[in-house]
Amino acid sequence: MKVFSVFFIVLFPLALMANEMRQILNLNGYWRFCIGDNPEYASVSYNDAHWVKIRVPGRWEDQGYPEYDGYAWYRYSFKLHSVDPNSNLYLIVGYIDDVDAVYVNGKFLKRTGQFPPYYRSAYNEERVYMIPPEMLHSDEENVIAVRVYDGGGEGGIVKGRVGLFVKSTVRLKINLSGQWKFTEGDNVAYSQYDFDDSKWTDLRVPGIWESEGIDYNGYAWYRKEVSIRNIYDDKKLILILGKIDDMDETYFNGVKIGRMARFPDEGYTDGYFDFYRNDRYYYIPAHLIKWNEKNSIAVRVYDVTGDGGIYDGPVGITTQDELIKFKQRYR
Amino acid sequence: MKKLYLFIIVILFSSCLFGIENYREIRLKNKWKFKIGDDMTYAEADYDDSNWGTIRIKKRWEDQGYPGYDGYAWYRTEFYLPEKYKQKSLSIQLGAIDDVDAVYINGQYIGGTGSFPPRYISAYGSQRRYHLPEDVLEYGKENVIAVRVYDSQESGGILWGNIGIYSEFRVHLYSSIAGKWKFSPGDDQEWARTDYDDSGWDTIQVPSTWEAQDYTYLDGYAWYRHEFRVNRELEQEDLILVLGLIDDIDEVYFNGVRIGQTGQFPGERTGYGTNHYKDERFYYLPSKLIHWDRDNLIAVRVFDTGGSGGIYEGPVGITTRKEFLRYKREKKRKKTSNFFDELFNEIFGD
Repeated sequence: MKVFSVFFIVLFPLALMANEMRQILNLNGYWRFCIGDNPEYASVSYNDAHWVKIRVPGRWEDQGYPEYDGYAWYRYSFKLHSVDPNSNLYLIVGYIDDVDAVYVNGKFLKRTGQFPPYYRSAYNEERVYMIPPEMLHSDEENVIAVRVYDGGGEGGIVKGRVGLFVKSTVRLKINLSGQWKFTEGDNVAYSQYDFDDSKWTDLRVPGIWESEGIDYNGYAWYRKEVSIRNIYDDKKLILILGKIDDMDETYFNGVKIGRMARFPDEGYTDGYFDFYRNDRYYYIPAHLIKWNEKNSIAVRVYDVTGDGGIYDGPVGITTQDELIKFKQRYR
Repeated sequence: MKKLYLFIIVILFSSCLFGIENYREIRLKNKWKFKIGDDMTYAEADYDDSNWGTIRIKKRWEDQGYPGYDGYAWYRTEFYLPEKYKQKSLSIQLGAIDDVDAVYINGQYIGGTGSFPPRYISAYGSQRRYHLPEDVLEYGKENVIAVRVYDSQESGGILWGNIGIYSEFRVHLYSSIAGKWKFSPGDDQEWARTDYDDSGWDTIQVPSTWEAQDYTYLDGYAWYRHEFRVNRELEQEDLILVLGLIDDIDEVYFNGVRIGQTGQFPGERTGYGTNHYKDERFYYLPSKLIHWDRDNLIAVRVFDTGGSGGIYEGPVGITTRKEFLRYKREKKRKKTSNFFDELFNEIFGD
């Protein structure tokens, strides 16, 4: 009986995952490969014609590089017919032994693990990278370049799914993933509608801020402007902020519309550290919306430790009807 | 000393184990009128259901001649309500209904659980209990119950549980302020002010959970606003504002002035996360704040920590301090006596 329950616990999440992730492009096959390390390998214009071909996924030890440890690069080019700008695209690069950084069309996407000198392996993590649709070109060549560091034992993109996937999420009416304004620190004025955030950093959302080189724990704020057209039958609009590490308090046009938090200045002592798992859905009261004009979204975030930020999508605005449709399909 | 302990244990048990309402006053028939399909005229008191089929409650319709039927169906019956129930607070219990229901008494909607298509949400597991407002009831006469049911799959109908008309032990209101209130998710101190313009706000039925009223995914902050007159005849009395039950935490403003709070909002240092959804809300209403010749504004800030939320159960209105004290005394007395009644029944049968 116990065996059965273990069985279910293992199978159930898998079944859910399978439902939600649909492959749109299989990237299994032969990739260009070169040992060594050179930042130019990331660029689109780099000519990799003289590189060897290697099977992905598969350990490089079995493909002509026995006992090799250290840096190596993979490159792969592909064409896509069309990219739906509202889809939730994921690039999955299997399990990589030990550390990787992925570049798409010359632009850094994400890193898992730590390269030397502060080496940390992440060989046990599947590389599931959300990719903003605008990073990919329709009907043109796209180049993925993967920088890999192997600290010992087997190396490379060793196993797992490799491809482009679409995650079924609620259908967004307005997709807000992309560049947001970001600052470290904390100030109530940041919530205000008219606050001037032009000097703030540009940060891609969703994504952990560590992957943009911001090694920081504590308070931070995100801001984004959005124009909302008055075209929705269901006037109950919901702001979806994906998942946030760890806590947040969210303002729309200067008014607090939601929070999932217990901030340090509220005297937490016990464990409220599960907030990072929760989906953020906040109703946008219709009376606060400036239709067809600029609206401001401000998100106060506190990161306790490790990765921080609005780290997983979808991020955008939808109607309650769409959310109900989605929930009924996947629950 | 030992006796004292025993007494304390008995008192504790009595409050945990046995509620203080829940006396069945009137049984409902076992066989009701039944028709599949959907037509809102079926809710009306004088609708002629004589050519409808009959069906037993506490049994799924699949086993009573409707195998495999999913969709809408209506149940109708009536019950005689003796005069003696005037001034008494009553509720109707209908047990578990699979999946969604809306209940009409004498043609008037009094409550529902779940959500009908197209925004279908099942509530098949929850026991239905709805307060019966005095103004829909006919004393000394037959009263018509009509139940609209929607079943999405498998078993359908009024399935099981305690069914009947029950007495409710409630504080007596001198005026009810239940009804349509203004409502907005979010949180802003401006919303407490009397000069704030809430004309763009949504309206919502009070009492009822906000989830049952098309705020399906709302957790966290929301505000209620409502304007009402206070009867001049109460000018000599000390008045109490009754806000029923609120899930979970609330802070109340009357004509812009804060008059009370139950629970701790996030950000207030202590106790966030404790349960207050079963605490009855009574707030003393200072007479100097009351406008006797025009509308008064009540603004209620609510925080829901998760699950259902809002001013979800009545009574909601104005009472006097005297009635409030009488109610509290009575409640304390009932808690103990109920325990012994139940114990007696338990031992000697009913």
